[in-house]
Amino acid sequence: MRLLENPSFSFIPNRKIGYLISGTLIVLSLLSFMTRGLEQGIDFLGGTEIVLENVGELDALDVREALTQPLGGQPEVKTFGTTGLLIRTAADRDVDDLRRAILSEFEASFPAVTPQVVQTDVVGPRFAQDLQRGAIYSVLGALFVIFMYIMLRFEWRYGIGALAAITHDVIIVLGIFSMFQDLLPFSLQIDQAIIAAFLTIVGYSLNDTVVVFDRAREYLNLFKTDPYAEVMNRSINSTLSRTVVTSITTLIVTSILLFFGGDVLRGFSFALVLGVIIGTYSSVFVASPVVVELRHWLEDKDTKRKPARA
Amino acid sequence: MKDNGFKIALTVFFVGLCGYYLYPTVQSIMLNQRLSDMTEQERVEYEQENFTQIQEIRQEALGLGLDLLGGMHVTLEIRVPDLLGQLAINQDDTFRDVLQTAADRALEEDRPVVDVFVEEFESRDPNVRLSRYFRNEQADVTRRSENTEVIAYLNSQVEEAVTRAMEIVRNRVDRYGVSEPSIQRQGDRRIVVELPGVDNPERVRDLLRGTARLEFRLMADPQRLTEAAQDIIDYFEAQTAAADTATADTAGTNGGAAPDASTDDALADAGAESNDTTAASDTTADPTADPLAQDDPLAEDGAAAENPFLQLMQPLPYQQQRPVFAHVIEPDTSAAMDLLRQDEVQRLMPSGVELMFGANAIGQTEDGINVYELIAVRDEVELAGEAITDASVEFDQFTNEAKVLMVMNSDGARTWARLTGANVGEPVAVALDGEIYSYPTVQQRILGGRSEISGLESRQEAQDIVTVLQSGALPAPLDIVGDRTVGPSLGEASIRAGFTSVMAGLVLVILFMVMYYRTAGIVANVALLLNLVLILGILAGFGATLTLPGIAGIVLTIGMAVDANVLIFDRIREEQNTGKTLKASIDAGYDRSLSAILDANITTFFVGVILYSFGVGPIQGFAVTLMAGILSSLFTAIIVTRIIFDYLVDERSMRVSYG
Repeated sequence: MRLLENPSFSFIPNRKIGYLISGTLIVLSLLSFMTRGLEQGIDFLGGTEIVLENVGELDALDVREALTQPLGGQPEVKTFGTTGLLIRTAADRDVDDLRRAILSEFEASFPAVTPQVVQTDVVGPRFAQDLQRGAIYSVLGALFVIFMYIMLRFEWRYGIGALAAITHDVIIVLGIFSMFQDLLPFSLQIDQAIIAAFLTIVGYSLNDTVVVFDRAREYLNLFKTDPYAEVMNRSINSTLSRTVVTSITTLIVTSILLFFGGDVLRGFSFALVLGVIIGTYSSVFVASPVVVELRHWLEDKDTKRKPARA
Repeated sequence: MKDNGFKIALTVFFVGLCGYYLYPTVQSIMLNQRLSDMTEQERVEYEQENFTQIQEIRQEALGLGLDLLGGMHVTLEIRVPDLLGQLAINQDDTFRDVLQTAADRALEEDRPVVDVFVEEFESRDPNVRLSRYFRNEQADVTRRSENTEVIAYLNSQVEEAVTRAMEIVRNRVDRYGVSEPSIQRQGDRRIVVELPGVDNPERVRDLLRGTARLEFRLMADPQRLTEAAQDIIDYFEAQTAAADTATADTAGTNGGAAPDASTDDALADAGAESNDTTAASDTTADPTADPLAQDDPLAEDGAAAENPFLQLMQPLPYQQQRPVFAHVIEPDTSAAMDLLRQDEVQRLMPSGVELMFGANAIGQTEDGINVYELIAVRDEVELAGEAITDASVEFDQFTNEAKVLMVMNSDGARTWARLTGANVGEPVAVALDGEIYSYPTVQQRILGGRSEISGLESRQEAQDIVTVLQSGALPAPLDIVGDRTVGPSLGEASIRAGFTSVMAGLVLVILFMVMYYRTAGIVANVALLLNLVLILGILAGFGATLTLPGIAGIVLTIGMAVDANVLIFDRIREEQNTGKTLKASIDAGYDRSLSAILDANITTFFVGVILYSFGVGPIQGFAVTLMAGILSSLFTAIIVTRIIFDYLVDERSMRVSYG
C-alpha cells in the first residue's frame, strides 16, 4: 500500500493559508484564555479531591447543593466514570474530616446510595506552589534545550522555526482546553499529567519538524541553485508520506488511550490526540514556512544593503 | 554476514539481560496465578513454606505503582521554623518577629528557611550576633562564635532533624506493618512516604504526623470556667442587642458605644449571674446523669437561637473536679475554636487557661452526631513526654478497656511524684498532640514514675500511641503537604484499562504496518515486540515501578517506536524508485535516514530528561518509560531490523517487499 507517492503539493507557495488558519486559532485561543481562562487542577491550586464510587444516578448539581453547607463553601462536583463522582473543594480541613463530613451528608440527603471513597488527593497550598513552579521550569527548560540543540545541529533559523511550531502547538492545545472545558464529558483541568502530555506533544511535534529539516539540509547541498523556498517545499513533499504514516500509528494508539485508557487518563490522552494532529500540521505549515520567511527577510536586507555599499 | 557478528552479539546480550531482569516478574505473575487457584488454607501453608523465596521474587519483580496497586503517597514537610524556635535558648520579640517573617518569605521564595532567617536578621541589624540566641556547648557554639559558625550549626541541625524524622517515620511504618514501604527524602525538608495497599489511611496519617507530644497538665478551676462562660454569653447577648438597637436608631449612646459598654456590663454582671447559674445547676436533680440530656441551664431565656456562642457550644453547669468548659458537636469543632480565639472572648476567659478538645467523643446526639468535650487546662506543661522511657498496651482488669502504660526516667518520676503529691483530689490532664485523653483525679502521691493513658477507643488506638511514643518524638512537627490515596478497586480498573490499551494499540499498529509495508512491516513488527520486552526489561533493571502514566508512556511508545522504521522504509522506497538494486537501496535507506532519526530522538530524549528532573511521582514514571522507549526503539529499529534484512537479502536472497 502506498500513501502520497511522489506528492508535489505547493505548501510553501501557499503558506499564507496556513498563516491564516494558525493565526485564527491562536487568536481564538488567546481570547478564550482571557474570557474563559484555564481550569487548573488541585495540583496547582491546592485543595482536596475525593472520588466516590457507587453513587448511581445522582445528579452532580444536587450533590453540590447538599454538600455546600457541611463543607462550608460550594464544592465542585463532577461525574467520574459511570457510577462515580469527583468532589473537589478548596476547604482547608483535614482530609479525614472532609471525608466523614461528605459521607454523613450523603447518608442524610441521599440514603438510597452507599458511596465508597476510592481515591483522595490532597495538595497543600505550599506544595501546589512548588508543583506549579516545577511545571513552568520544565516547559521553559524543554523549550530552551530544544532550541539550543536544533541551533547546534542545524542553524539558528531552524531553531526559531522549531520553537515557533512548538509554541504554536502548545498555545492551540491549551486554547482548545480552555474553549471546551465544560463542554466535554470529561475533565479538562490542567494538572501535572497534562503538563507531561504537553511536553510529549512538544517532543512529537519536534520529531516531525526535525525530519523535514533534515531533508532540507540534505537537499540544500544537492540542489544548490534552486530557490530556497522550492527546496523546502520539495523536502516537505518527500517526507510527507512518512509524516502521515507516523501520524496514523500514533493517532491509533492515542485514540485507543482516549477511549479505553480509563477515566484517570482521559484528559491526558485527549491532549495527546490533539497534539499529534496539531503537531503534524505545524511541522508542515508553521516550522518550515518560518524558516523560509526568515531566509527571505535576511536576503531582502542584504540586497538592500549591497547597493548602498557599492 | 560477517560484519553483523558484533550486532548480533549485542542484540543477544541485551535480550538476555532483559530476560534476566524480567525473569522474576514472570515468576511473580505465575506465582500469583497459582496462589489465586489455591484455597485459603493451602495458600497460607504454601506461603509459610516458601516465605523467603516468595519474598525474593516479589522484591525483584517489576513493581506496580501506587496508582495501580492502591495505597498512599504522602509528602511530609518538617516545620523548620518550629525547629529554629526550639533550638533558640532565649527568644525576644525581635527573634520571634524575624522568625515569622523568614518563615513566610522562605515559602514565597522557595529557599531554605535558615538562609532567609539569617538574611532577614542581618538586614535589620548588620551587627547582629546570632550566638546571642543559639548556643550549644556540645556543638562548640558559644557566646563568642561567629555568625558563620552558628549558621553551619543551624544547617547541620536541620539536616539532622530531617534524617531523624525519616528514621522515626520508618520506625512507625515498620511497626504498623506495611509490606515494602518506600521512604525517601525530597529536597531539603520533605519526606515522601509510599505505602502500598494500606487499608486504613486515616490511621496512617495520624501515625505519620503524630509528634507524640505527651503532656501532663493541671486543670482550670471549674467555678471560674462557669463564670467565664456566663460572661461570654452576656457579651454576645449584649452585642446582638446592640446590633438590633443600632438598626432601630434609638439613643446615640447605646448604638455608638455598644461593644465597649456591653463588655463592661457583662463583666459587672458576672458575679451576680454566676450565682444564679450555680443555683440553677444545683437544682438539677443529678448533674452527672447525662450531660447531653440536660436543658441548657445557662440559656433558658431562649436567646440561644441568636447567640453565636450558644449556637456552637453548650456550656456546662458548675461541677466539682470537672473542668469541662462546654460540649460541642463534631461539625462545629473548628468554628467553636475560631470563636474562642476572638480577642474579646479571650479577654473574658480566666488567665493562664487553655482549651483543648477531648480525644474521643463522649456520646452522640439524637441524630447520631458525635459530641466532644471542650476541656480547660492550665497553660504550663508540668511534665512532658521526654520523660517517658517505655510504653506498653495493657487492659484494665475491670472494664477490659485498652490503656497505655508508661514508665518515666528518674527525673520524670521525681516531678511526677511532686506533682501528684501536691494535687491529691485534683484532676490531672493527660494530653497527647493537643488532645486530652483523660483527666483522672489524683488519689494519692505516685512514686516510681508510672502513669497511664486511659479513655482510649480501641486496642488499635492504644497500640498506635505506644508506637508513636516508642519511636521517639519528632524533632519538629511534620505537616502533610500532599497526600494521594488510591483505593484498590480503582487501581484494578486502571490496570485493566491499561492492559486493554496496550493490547489494542499493539494489534492495530501491527496490522497497519503489515498492510502498509508487507514483508518489511513484519520485520518492523518483530522489532516492535522486541522493543516492548526491552522497555519492560529496562524498567525492571532500574528498579522502576509501573504506573498508569507509565503504561500510557508504553502505549505511546508503541505508536512512535515504528517511526524510525517508517523513516527508513520510506527512504528505501525512494531509493528503489531511483532505480537502485534492493541491496543498494537498503544500504542507502539506512544510511541516509540515520541523521534524521538521531536528531529527532535525541531532542525527545531531552524532553524526557527534563520531565524526569522537574516532575513528581507518577510523572517521573511516565518520563522513565518515555526515555526507555526511545533508547530501545532506536536500538531495535536501527540495529535489529538491519540484521534481519541483511539475513533475508544476503543469505536467503529474498525479494523483500517494502510495500
